Amino acid sequence: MEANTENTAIAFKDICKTFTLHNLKAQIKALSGESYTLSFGQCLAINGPSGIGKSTLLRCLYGNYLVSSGEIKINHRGKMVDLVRASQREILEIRTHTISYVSQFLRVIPRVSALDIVAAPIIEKGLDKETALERAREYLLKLNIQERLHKLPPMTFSGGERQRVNIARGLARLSPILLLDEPCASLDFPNRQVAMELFLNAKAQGVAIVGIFHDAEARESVADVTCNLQAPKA
Amino acid sequence: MCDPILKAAHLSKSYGKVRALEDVSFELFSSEVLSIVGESGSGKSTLLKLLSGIIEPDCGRVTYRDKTGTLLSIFDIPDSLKRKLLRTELGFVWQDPKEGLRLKISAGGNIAERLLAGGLRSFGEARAKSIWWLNRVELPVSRLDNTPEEYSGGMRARLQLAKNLATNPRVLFLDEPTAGLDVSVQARILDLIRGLSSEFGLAVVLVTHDLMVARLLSQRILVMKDGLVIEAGLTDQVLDDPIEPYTQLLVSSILGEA
Ligand SMILES: Nc1ncnc2c1ncn2[C@@H]1O[C@H](COP(=O)(O)OP(=O)(O)OP(=O)(O)O)[C@@H](O)[C@H]1O
Ligand SMILES: Nc1ncnc2c1ncn2[C@@H]1O[C@H](COP(=O)(O)OP(=O)(O)OP(=O)(O)O)[C@@H](O)[C@H]1O
Ligand SMILES: [Mg+2]
Ligand SMILES: [Mg+2]
Repeated sequence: MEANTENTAIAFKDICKTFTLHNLKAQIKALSGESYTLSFGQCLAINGPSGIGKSTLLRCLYGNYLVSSGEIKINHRGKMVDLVRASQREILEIRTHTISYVSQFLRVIPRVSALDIVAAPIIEKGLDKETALERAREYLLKLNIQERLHKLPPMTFSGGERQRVNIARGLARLSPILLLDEPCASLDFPNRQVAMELFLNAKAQGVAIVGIFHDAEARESVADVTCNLQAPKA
Repeated sequence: MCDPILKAAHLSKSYGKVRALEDVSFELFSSEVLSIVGESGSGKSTLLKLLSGIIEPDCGRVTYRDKTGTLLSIFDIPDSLKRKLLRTELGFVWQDPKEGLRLKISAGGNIAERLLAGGLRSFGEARAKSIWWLNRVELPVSRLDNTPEEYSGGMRARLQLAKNLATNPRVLFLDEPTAGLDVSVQARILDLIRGLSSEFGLAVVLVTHDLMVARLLSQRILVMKDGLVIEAGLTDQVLDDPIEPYTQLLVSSILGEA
């Protein structure tokens, strides 16, 4: 039945997520039973109107939101691990080595340079500092962040520059699974193309991508399959 | 995965009728920063003092794996060994600097005292190390001979940090170390702690009321209320998707985004 599991990157099943807002005495049902199995080298686009639950799904796949029910199997170093039942330390391990998440905005850390921000997750993986800094530099340059900016903290960068640092950070660590939440939303057209090119490259190298792409043309250029989120039944 | 460096099991502590801490258990690993947040009086400082063996619990255990890999049950070892650990392998930055510093001896003397108590022989070396650590915490070396009495609150916190780091501790307990620091010094201190933890494996338990500090520095977080740990998880998960009513209140009471 489960043919070709070796090539499965991520398999989520019946994911439900309901937020309980205690002070408002309200419940928000964001996901009601999403399932999908994705192989390495494939891209799944999550699609649907604003507020439907796209970012919520992506955050669940990263362990950033807790699911209310369901399972999320991640191919972590050749073994399928259920993120929902994994310990906190296992999730940290999976994030370090397997899943990279590019949020819509870069969270800047005061006084830490762009180069160090990109290099940090590579060092965390266990690579030596020199290799990490070299690769960080390479990816920043690929994303048109000029050398003179590398030593500066992105605090003062423009929105688009910050976001390109964020994409460089997500890509340079070469994780087998990449989660993208509207990564190009604040980029101008040429930089958007550069970024999309890099995502396509990653895919060609076997990276599995789950992404939210605002722009239909971008989505069609990279996605192999699309998951259209439906409004949950009340 | 490797063994925890510090393990707390079922710690409880009351002061008369006040339940300061109730049945707290968790594990801490090398290279990890764990933050503890919660309202005033929720038991955060009590927990830190128990973990470091400064006070004794009503019940529960703390186990520390020392430099040689030996497991030490903190409340069962002799006081002399406990004191020795606190001068060397364990560091404690107190919320109240009067507890962590001798206010009437010079800053350099405060650092040197710990170094000499920790086994260093040479005064010259102690002075050189003091200067090096003052630099690391961005205190002006020209203030080396001033007493902490002449320091501001933020400077005292940094002096405590320098003093503790001077013996290369393996576990550092920090009680509100960035309160009263201006943003840029705070950033530098966070950077220093992050670096020590990722490069040298320093394990940190950080009590803070600042959720932004918790987010930037720690991988995991405990939320305390009335002596209980009411929510625990990965820092970004707890702050982005808090489950308990109190945690939701705590997160939403922060203006802007933490
Ligand atoms: N941390 C949270 N706490 C409470 N509710 C949340 C949280 N995150 C998301 N929601 C709610 O869940 C629903 C889905 O939000 P989500 O951000 O996933 O939408 P989206 O499809 O990504 O929308 P957009 O296209 O606007 O980014 C919304 O009603 C939102 O308010
Ligand atoms: N030595 C003591 N004698 C009596 N009561 C104490 C003592 N130490 C702490 N308490 C009480 O135990 C409870 C927990 O105190 P603790 O200092 O751990 O709180 P905290 O979370 O650190 O608060 P804050 O954020 O204000 O520093 C409080 O109600 C406090 O009054
Ligand atoms: Mg979204
Ligand atoms: Mg306290």
